[in-house]
Amino acid sequence: MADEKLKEMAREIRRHVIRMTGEAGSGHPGGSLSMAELLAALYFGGVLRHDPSNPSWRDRDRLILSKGHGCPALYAALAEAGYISRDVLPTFRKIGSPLQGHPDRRFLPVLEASTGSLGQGLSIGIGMALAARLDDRPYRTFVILGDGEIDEGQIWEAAAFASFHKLGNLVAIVDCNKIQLDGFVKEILDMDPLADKWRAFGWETREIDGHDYGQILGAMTNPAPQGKPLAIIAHTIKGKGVSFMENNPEFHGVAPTADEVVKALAELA
Amino acid sequence: MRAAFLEALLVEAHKDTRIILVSPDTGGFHCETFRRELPGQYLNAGIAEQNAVGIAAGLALAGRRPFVFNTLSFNSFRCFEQVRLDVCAMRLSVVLVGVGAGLDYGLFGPSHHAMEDMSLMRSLPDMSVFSPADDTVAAALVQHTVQGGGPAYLRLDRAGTPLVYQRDARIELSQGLALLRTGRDLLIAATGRMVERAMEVADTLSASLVDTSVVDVFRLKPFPARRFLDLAESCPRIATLEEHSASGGLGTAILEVLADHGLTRSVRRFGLPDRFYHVCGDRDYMHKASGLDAAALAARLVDNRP
Repeated sequence: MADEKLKEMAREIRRHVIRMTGEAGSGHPGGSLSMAELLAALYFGGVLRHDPSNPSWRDRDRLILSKGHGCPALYAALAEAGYISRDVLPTFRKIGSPLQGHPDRRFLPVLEASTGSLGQGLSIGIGMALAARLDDRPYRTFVILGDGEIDEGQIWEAAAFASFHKLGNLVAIVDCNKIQLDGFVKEILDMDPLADKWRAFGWETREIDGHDYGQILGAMTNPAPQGKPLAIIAHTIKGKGVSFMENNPEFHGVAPTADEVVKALAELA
Repeated sequence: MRAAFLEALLVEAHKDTRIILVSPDTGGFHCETFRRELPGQYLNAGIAEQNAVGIAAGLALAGRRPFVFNTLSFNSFRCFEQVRLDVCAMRLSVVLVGVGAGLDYGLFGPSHHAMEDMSLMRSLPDMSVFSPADDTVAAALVQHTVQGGGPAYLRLDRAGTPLVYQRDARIELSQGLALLRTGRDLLIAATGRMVERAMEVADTLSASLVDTSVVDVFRLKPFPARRFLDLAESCPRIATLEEHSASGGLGTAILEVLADHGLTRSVRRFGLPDRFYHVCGDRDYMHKASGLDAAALAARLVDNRP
């Protein structure tokens, strides 16, 4: 997909996020908006080897959203890719919907893993990456983490394991949107220098602008040195695309009101 | 019990290459034969239990059948969240194998005493909880859990305890319990290491003319309610015996079943007290100190005194 079309896809994902969280009256818009380009690149930029007509294809690349609260953006990308109907998106967080407030594989089998308790997705991804190697399958496993999420100790257990075991088929993408639940990462538990930490743990580490397709696609598609897991530190803006949500901790876990939905959609038109 | 289990697992893993033994650095010595014979099906994940359980979940999602082999207290307490969300909420076929039931690690201190694990694991939806009484049941659980699928938790002893069942006995594991001895006056329901103790107690009580049944409840969840109620209906008194906090384990499960089915029986619960053991003592010493030796149990049961 060409750059212009990818840009439009990110806008489409953002519009879905605004409508879904607005309609539900709950959800996490900020951290969903920050990763729209990352998801657009993965699903529509030729990064993920996948086939929406065959979701259980054995050799499909796996994607785990470890920062599960960002699921509105993932559901939007899955709908645009054809895995689920667009009609189901407005049911997000509603009774009987397969679109739970955090990704639930038992409701929506097309998801690779259930998440929502932070810090757990990278370990699951390691299990898949190990299985690929044991079974001699070519697929890669991608795990999207939040920059607040990586406060969790389990992330660093997993980071040490992945490089020691030379999991070159594993990619961790950190959506560095600089804000966690209670406020700014810098004021709560600053993990800087973040890239140095991943490098020290033995990962090929690339620091990019997470809204720039050239940089995103370059980081995701250029092979890492043999046997090294790849960490992509994607600097993003929480609430990206909606002026009153950008860099605003209030929209981590608060949905836009009806008025705010109208204003946001106008900005994203 | 650990050795018998690992031996059975190795035999099964030779046949079923999906099986992979994941150990957070707690099985090396005991898993050595397994590692040597099937290096591709063995993974030492380092001292990182939470990561190990997550990895097991990922392996299961990719079609593998992981057994997470660990010291019991670290397999249940340390990674409860991972067991809950990664394994149970996704209903994955991951078997958690914990070694060191109850006070098996008596001399190691409170960190290693496993007194609350059955209570925790029993509370998890979709989990199966097994507590074998001897090598025979422990070994048979390998094939049983592989065939059954889904999340399972196994509570093992380190050493081989005296055999309750013949080595080649065919135990109906799907029944969840086994009646070992029949009497009219008292039914002792026991689990794990305490099954053999219950048999001892029953022998002692027979001298005092208390005719005692003993049932081995080796599956605490799903609890074999119907089969247990059939036994309970024919006996006026019930005693429960477990090497676990008297709250939350077998005794509690039985009270729940009786209450839910409106069956009124006199029930005595014998288990570990609601306190940490801040004494350095081996298993037998601690059992005695807690009134769980055969003589003390028989004395408390013969005239139904506290």
